[in-house]
Amino acid sequence: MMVIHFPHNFQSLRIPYVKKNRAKIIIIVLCIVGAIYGLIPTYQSQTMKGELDAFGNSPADSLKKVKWLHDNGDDLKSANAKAIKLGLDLRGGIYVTMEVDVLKFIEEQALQKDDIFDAVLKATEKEEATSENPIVPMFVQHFTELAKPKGKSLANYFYFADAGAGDDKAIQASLQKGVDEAVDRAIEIIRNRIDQFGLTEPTIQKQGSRRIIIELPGVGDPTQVHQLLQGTAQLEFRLLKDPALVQKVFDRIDKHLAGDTSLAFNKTLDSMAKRVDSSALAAAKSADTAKAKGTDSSAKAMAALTPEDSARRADSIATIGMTKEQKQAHELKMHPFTAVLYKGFDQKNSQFYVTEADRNLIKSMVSRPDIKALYVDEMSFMFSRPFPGKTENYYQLYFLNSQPELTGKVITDARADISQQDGRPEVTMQMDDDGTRVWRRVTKSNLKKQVAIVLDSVIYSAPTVQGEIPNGNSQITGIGDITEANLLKIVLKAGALPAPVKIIQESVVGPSLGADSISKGTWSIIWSLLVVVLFMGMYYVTGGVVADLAVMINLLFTAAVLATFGATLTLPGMAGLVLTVGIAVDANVLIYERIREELALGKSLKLAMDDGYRRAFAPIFDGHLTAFFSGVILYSFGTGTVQGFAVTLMIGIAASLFTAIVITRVIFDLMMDRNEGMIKFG
Amino acid sequence: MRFFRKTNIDFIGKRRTWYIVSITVTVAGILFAMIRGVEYGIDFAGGTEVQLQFQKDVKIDDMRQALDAAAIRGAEVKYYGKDEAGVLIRVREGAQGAAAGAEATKKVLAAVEKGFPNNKSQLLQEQHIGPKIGAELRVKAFEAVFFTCVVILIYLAFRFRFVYGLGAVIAILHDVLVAFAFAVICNGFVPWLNLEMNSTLLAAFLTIVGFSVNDTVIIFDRIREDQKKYKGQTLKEIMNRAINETLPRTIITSGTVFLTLLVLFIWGGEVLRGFAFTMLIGVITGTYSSIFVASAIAFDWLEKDKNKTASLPVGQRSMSKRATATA
Repeated sequence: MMVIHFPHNFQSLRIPYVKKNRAKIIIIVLCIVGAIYGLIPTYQSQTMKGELDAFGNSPADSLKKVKWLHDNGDDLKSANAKAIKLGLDLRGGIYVTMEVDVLKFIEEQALQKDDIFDAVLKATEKEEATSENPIVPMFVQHFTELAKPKGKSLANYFYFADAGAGDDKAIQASLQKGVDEAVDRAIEIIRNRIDQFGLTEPTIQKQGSRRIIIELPGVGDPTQVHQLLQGTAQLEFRLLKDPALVQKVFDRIDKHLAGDTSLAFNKTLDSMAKRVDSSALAAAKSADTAKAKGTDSSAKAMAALTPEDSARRADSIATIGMTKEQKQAHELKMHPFTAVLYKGFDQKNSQFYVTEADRNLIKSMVSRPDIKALYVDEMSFMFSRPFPGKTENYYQLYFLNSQPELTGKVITDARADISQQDGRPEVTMQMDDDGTRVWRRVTKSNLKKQVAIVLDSVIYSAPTVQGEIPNGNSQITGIGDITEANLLKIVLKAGALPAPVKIIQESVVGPSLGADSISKGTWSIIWSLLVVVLFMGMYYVTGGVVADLAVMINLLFTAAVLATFGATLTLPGMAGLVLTVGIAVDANVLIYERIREELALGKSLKLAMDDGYRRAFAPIFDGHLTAFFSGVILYSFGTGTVQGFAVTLMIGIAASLFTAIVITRVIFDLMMDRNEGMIKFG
Repeated sequence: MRFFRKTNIDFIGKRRTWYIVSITVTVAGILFAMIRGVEYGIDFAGGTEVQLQFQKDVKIDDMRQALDAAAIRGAEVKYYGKDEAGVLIRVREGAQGAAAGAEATKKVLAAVEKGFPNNKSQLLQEQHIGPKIGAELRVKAFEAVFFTCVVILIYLAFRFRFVYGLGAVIAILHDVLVAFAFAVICNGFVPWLNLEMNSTLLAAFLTIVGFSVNDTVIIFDRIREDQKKYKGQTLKEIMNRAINETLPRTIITSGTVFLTLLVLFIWGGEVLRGFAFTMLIGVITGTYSSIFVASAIAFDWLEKDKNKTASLPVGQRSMSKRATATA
């Protein structure tokens, strides 16, 4: 192996090659530095994942893991976002394509069905099986062909309030609108459920007009996912719990937890406390253990003897003479539950906001059977949709009646509008007769109270009842913007108008298979690289070594581009890398063979190299371009993993033009400066 | 180090013999595929595929019985992986007893659990492809190869001349067909190779297209260069010269790519094995076809064209003047 000495000081050189190449050298160095910079998050993400994996499955370890995630979660998240993404075939997980069953939706929309209608449906179904075209126009076309001659019009089967006169065009438009909304609703329902599942980096995408692609890395159990994706959506209206009652439940849980001897749980809280103020607390704690032990146990004893208020008094006695940090630690010990809750308490509006990690912690607390028994008859804990914060999402915590007042089935229509009075977005909803009756009673007896709109145990909105609603026609105001209003409208319809979805494609890669293919793929690539490197070095001597260097830089660039543009590396993508190496090497083989030919004609090394590079350029360029074309086409027609292959191939080919031609040439020029004898092409 | 002295082989002169070889292989492959039928992978055929890793070895017959007991008929069962504890179960779309959609997996897993109560299994991979997706992928595969050919034909017609583009495209089709034929035939005899038609194999075919055209273009470039350099020589001499001159490069490049693929084939694991095998065939035929198909067809066409133009009256000759100017 030879070492290339880059000159330390350009000024000291006599020969003009460096000067000639100065711009190129700067560009090359910038590219390499940029590529390395682009790969830093990938490196960080890998090391952090390693640290995370080092935790075992024991309870103590899982607590450490929680703490680790508390401390490093944000860093890991940002590193992951910029790291090379591994496809599901490499990391394991579930890939699902779902399709909204538009035909079923249309069928459900029909007021009445007869033989003619069924014939139209059947014809549409037949065409739909082989076509990707939008279904509503397809349905209307079949309707025109089959039902029209029999004297039927769409108005015989459908009624939409917004369709005006009810001619076919207006009805088709309404039907289309309904279908589009159904797709959006299906996506929202799925997004909502997956979000609750607390998975890392799930992707939910709309493909075409009615398909939804869902990728869930790291999930291995398909049955769990089926339930998650296919269950019927539950929409409910629930009253918020009275604050005084909620406080009682808090106290009960606090008391229960403070007296809890299971150390494991207190440890979690310790780590949480550390996060509150890590350095000050550490000092305070050591003092605390000596001093506060006595007071603590006595307070505990009192709490056990007397009801809640005297426990509180004991608290205030115990905290006399403590520093702020000590108070905080004490608070955490005495009120383990509310200490977590009140971290995100918004005093002004008496609302609770928690981070995702705290949401999971609270969820795990309140779902413990012993704790659940303390409140389950009276109330339930639920969280809102995520609110995007500066670094992470926040969730609002609500305390609701354990029984719903109404379910979403009673809603007949919902709309998002701009209010005519104040120009602010509002949502109106209409209920059926049964719903109207119950709603009237509920609104009458709960004036100025909040009613939460709950979809699959997630709260989308909690409007306050402003007055009795006698006719089932309600307005929800005070909504942030029209997007939010639209979302609420979509959700409100979920109860009555389900969006039928079916799984049309699914693939599950177990994590162990993923690990297996990674190691096999990686090793075979390393071996194949080694074979090429050795061969090139032997066959073309210095030329070969320079080409090897170029190939390494090419791989570096390709990896960096993959990371920067958020492309996904799949197993076929790795095969694409190998092929890229082949193509990159081919460029150098072309150049070197050409130089050998020119040398054989008796030209000087310098002239032979000039001519070799110049004459080899056309075939290299043509070859690269045509291979690039096939990559583009592969990308546009392929799916999933095959696209991964096409992406690495395209990036690699583009990089190869630069590395194999420009970089090798500059290196040779620099070598010329120092010692022409070093350059040999075998 | 150097493997070759200067060669002077009459490639173009032997083209007729190789035409016969090429046609025989291609036709035999297509016939074989038509008679035996092509085995589609799950992503093209549609259906459900479950890959399980058991703790202990499993007999295929026992597995069939377990599936039969659950009224799942017509399922394929085969070993997958290095030992007899890895099993792949495939239920085609519409097979008797196959539940619709994702239910199929559940049914298979339940049947397996019931059939092998003392041999725990781990789900390695599961795939369910609806019939519509399968059909879509098949159509897209054809479209992909077709459009690649069209784009390459247009590019080469611009860059060289239409005849060369045509030669290259015929060479591409030849390579894909030969690789396809080998894949189908070998799949019949050596199931270990994993050569069902699936999207990974499609990626292999399209890579062969890229490789083949790259190889062809490099020879064409040299022909064009030599035509300018050696004005007095016949087309046959020039083509032979260009092929001989580029021969070292052809062999070295194809050799290196062949070696890398060989490594992938041996150590790349189950998933990459079929890909690597098809590509190995593709590299051989891609190299061969650049010489004996692409260049040879361009040669025959140009020669025929030259004779025809010579017999035409002068006025009409100008129309095809460009075609013969450099020939």
